Amino acid sequence: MTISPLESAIRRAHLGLLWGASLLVPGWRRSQWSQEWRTELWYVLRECSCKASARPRSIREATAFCLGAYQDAIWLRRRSWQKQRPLSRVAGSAYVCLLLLIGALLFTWGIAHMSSRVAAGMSRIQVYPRRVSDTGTPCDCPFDLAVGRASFEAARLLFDGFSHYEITQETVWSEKMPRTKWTLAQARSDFFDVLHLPVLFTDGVTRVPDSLPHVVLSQDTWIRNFGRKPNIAGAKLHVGSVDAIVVGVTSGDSMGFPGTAKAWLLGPDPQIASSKLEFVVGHLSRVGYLDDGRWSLSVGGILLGLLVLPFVSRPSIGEYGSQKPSLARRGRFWAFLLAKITISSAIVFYASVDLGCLLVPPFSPSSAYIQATSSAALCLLGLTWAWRDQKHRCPICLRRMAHPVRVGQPSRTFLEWNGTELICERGHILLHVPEVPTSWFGAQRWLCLDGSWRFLFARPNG
Amino acid sequence: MARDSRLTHNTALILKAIDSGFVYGFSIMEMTGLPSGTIYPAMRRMEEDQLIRSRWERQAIADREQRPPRKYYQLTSTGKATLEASRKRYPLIERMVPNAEAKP
Repeated sequence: MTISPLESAIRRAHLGLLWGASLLVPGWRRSQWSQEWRTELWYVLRECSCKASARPRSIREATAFCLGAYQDAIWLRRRSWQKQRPLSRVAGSAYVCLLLLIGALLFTWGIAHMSSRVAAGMSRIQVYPRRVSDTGTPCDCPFDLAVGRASFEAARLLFDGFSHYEITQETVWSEKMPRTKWTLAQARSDFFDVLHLPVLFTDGVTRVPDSLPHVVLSQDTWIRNFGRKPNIAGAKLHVGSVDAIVVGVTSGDSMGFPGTAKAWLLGPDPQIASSKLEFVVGHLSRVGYLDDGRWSLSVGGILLGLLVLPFVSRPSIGEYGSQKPSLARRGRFWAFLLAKITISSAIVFYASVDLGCLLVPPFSPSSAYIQATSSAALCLLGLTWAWRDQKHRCPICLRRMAHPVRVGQPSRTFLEWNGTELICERGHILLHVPEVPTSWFGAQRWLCLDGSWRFLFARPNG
Repeated sequence: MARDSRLTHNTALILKAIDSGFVYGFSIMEMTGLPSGTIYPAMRRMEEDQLIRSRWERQAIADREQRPPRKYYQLTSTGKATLEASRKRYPLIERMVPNAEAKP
């Protein structure tokens, strides 16, 4: 039999396809695999050559045959990976499902806690310290008052103390120090307590009379003007027209306040004067984004998702045939579903916090909307997944049902059974899922397999 | 003994085809109407599960008929038992696969 150049080229193309597929096959099987497929191709081409009347169709069939070799090769490659990874055998088990969920929960929890701290930090940068008034007139602020107010209101739950101070210039002197012009920060007497700022070297404070204003020196002033004197508390200073008593030295935490004051003059509430700079400072509590009451947004979203769930997913796991799993088995089945729903809800909670915190600037109004809506949407998704996953789990061993087989087509088998059948890999149960629900087969149906099936699913070690 | 046997519709169909005398890949493909990408992986899985076993035809026989040697498949005892079990589940398969007219 003579072969035309075109046929020869097509044959070579087919062999080329097989060669390409053989590259996917694990090396140790490649030779035998290639031999088998080349042999089979020979028979396919022989069959095709008999159908000379429909040559293009024959070529298509032969090409389709060769393309099937890729599926075979990929299957062999996957099988080889599965053998190398014994964990793939337990992939459908309930324990793996719960472990994955717990892993996801820990991940979202970690992100939420990290972003919570980051949000608190960002809030500190945004709000504290902020110059409130430049000229003494509250409306004449150097920043957008509306934005600033919103920012304060949004973040107020994070702060556990607010105070303010004003910057003044005063002449200060003492018996051992000549008259010097100092930049002073004038604040309320509880300024350091409210802001949780430590004051150092306060050993002599008990002897200080309360009637006099107190002075807290900055570290720089203490070093330059008082030579690091440790028992500085109790020293008397003349500040402008009043006498004051030094009560300590600021710690490093107090550095960086705007105004670069050399000392803090603590007394009654200072009055805002039009010529002075005033600053408002707030102390951020150690709580983060998670602890500021926003949890209610996520919880509300989750509850909304729970309410909507029955309208988007049919909460039924189907019907059992004549045999039902034992009560204990069914209890375990529902306990597993409950565990999934609980963990999923926790994941949704933390994931919505993550989204509300990371997608937009934290504490902005849109972050609250995102948190609330995403928690509802994610809850719906999570619960729908949990329910659907449950519907395809063996009620006895809780493994995922496997090997779906589509049986019949509604358009061809009118009134006959059509749908998908799944089987438990351990041989416990069959699941029939109708393709088109009918009045006599509306929901999926479980069929417990009796003992006669067990030998098919026995394990090598018994 | 089979391990994790996958008694799917395709498995049952292939078992039935082999039992009916369609004993090499291409003939099983033709008989069942399943594409090559389904048939061959399924048969490898069944061979792993010891439902079927394969053997290469002797080269001398193939040479005599001027064709490449075929890889023949046959049911194991487990495969036969599985086929029996599958008849309960897929009764129509009996009617779908006739006996091969001529077995090689």
